[in-house]
Amino acid sequence: MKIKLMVSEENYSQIFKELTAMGVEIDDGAQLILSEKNVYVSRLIGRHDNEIFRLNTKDISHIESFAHDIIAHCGGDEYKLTERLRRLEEILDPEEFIRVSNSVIVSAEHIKSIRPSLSQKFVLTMSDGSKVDVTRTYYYIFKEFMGI
Amino acid sequence: MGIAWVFIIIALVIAAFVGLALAVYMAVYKRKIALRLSQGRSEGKKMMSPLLFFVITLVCVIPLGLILTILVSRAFYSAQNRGMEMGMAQPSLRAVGETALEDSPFSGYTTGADIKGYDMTTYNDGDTTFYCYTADDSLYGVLPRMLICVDDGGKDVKTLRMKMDYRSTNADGAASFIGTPESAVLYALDADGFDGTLDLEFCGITTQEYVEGGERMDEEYFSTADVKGSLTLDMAYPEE
Repeated sequence: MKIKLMVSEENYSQIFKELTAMGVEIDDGAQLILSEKNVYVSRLIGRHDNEIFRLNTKDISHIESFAHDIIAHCGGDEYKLTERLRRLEEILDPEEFIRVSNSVIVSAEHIKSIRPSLSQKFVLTMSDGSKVDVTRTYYYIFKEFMGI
Repeated sequence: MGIAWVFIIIALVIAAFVGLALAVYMAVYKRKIALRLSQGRSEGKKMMSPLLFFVITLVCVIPLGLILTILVSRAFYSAQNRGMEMGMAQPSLRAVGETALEDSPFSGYTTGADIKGYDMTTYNDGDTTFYCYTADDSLYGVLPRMLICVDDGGKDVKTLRMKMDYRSTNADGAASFIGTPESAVLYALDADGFDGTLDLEFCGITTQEYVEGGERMDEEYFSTADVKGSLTLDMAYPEE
């Protein structure tokens, strides 16, 4: 059995030992995830040109759902993630990441500018130059999040 | 059309005010956003969305605009009615000649004949007979309030003058027509809203035919007229 561990740093080594002793293999690419409550990931596994990368969440500007793929924009490149957007919303630090539409999660640290409009929408310009719309559904959530 | 322009201006002023307020608010809103981005997220007081601000501004300004419109309308129409009530409307007298008469609803009229829709009253003075036709209430505002025909008693008048002096509570004045009998078969009196007295004076000259642009015919000239007649009409509206 392969399990991906998403626990705090303090508990990681102990849980790792106990699971390994039980014959469980710890694999960051596993589909089965053991996660600790209120612990948010600091790294995500992404694929780019058939290579697997460990992405630091601090370097991710935004994550978007495109067709059946989840794409993380990080350092100017695009990486495919295995987690669904809903799952990412749960495991990413809510103080840092916020969902702005049905298909996009952005990192607040990577927002370069916010352009308001008369209709209830914002247009965000990210640090890599991408433009992301905050839709009406998430307008007040984003407004509350940013404190504007 | 005058009052319509006032309403258009009021609407434009309201639109300009709302637009300006919204522009200012958007500028302040963008400034706050920039501040948040530079200083980080804050739990401070939130600003309302621009759409909400626009709706609230509209809700506040429209009633004011409506009140202003009502006040302007009342002032405009009461000024009109006040003018009518105080008899400030001025009467006018127009001569209708033979040619114009034939192309009018009064075609075929002869001196002293009845005119449909009018009540006739006859006044005699000196050599003249005034046939005064007063319009029925149903024709008020549609046809001239009064028509007057002057019979010169068969005298061969070549030049005539019809002079009208009017007096009311707040206005007085005079008007006159000089011409030939062919150019003044009937006189149409427009006196809508006039509430006063009219003095009509008819003068007929048998010795000289009127020529437009010819010798000046003044008061002294008509004082020697062969045919004269005068009539005073009380144009006061009956008390209700």
